[in-house]
Amino acid sequence: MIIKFQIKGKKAQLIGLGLALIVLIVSGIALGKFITAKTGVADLFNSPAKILELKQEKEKFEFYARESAILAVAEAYREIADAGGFTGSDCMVESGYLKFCDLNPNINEEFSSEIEAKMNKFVSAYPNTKLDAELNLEFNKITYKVSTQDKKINLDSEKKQLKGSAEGFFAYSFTYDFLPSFSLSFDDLNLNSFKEIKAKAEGCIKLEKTGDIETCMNELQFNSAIKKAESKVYFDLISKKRYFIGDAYKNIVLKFSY
Amino acid sequence: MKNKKADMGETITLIIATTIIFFILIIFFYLTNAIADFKFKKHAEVVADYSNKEHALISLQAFLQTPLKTEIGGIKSNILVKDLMRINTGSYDTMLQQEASEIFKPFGICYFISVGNLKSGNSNFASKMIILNLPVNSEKNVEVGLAVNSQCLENLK
Repeated sequence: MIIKFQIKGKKAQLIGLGLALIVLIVSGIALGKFITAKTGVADLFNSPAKILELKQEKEKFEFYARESAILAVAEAYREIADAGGFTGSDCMVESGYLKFCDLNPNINEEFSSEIEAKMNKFVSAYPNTKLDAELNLEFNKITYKVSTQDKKINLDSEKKQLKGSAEGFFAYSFTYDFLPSFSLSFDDLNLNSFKEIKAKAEGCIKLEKTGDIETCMNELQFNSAIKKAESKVYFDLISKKRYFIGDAYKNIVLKFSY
Repeated sequence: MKNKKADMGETITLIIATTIIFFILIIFFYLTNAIADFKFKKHAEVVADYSNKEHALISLQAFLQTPLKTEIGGIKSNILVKDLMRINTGSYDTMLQQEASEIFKPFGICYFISVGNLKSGNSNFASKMIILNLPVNSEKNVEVGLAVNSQCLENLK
């Protein structure tokens, strides 16, 4: 027995035809929307570009922050060296040389606070990027907290969340956690901590000849000139490397006596 | 006879409907293909642009760390390119230009570098530069830009 299903009657045929047309129209509209919804499609294709661009903006800022930190450390170091801020307050100047009787007990805090002030000034001068308006990056609003350990300078900052989003047919949003903190070591900067210089000087003055003291002191990141007069040893240290400080390329000079 | 005519009419309707559906499918197929092509092309452009900029970023950072031997203030010094750029008052332009040409020689005509007034390389790539800011002091920065084009490099080989 063959069973045939047929749409019988004109009304039924019209309904069938109508349904088929509706399906075609709806599919057509969906495809049309997909093609013509330019902003939606563009956003969908632009989102990876924006994420990659954001990554590069982050890398560019990291370069700027590191360079700023190097300048800030060199400037702060030179200022402390020039002012004799590395010695304790009881140490007196004798014959034009500051007696290194004691290491400033607050040297790490003072050095860190000098670097911090300079670093945050540098960062505030970072120019806005073209992505700034869109994604609110505001790298120049990042602030650093600086702390100095024996051989390390830590520049810590709060985590920054970079966000991007777009409305439209293909809406998207993303967040990118960025921690701008980093650290520098005195070795990277071709410098020595003041504590290290004091310890070295105390060891080297045990040698008798000035030439030997010089050789001993030259193991530091400074070239030294040593003079002996009466029972005193006078140290003139000049950094082996020159630094860009202010608007010029300069050496860092340390003068003290023992 | 009547039944045969009715059967033929039904068959013709089915053939026409199948043809219409077939053509609609072909149209959909081509449209989807065109959209996919556009998407992949755009994606490839995005990736190529990113990779060129990443290449330029690494090369530029390495260039800035290059030591040079020169005389500054009467003292012979080893100075890094970045520091020379910082103190550049125009007097080191030729030196920087020579150094850039030498260092970027392997890039042939496929790069463009810009530091202040100093411009070197193929200016067609100027709009694709990655720009680094080099701090000079708390108020002044120097912009250094480099563009490298991998497709151009590929064609050079």
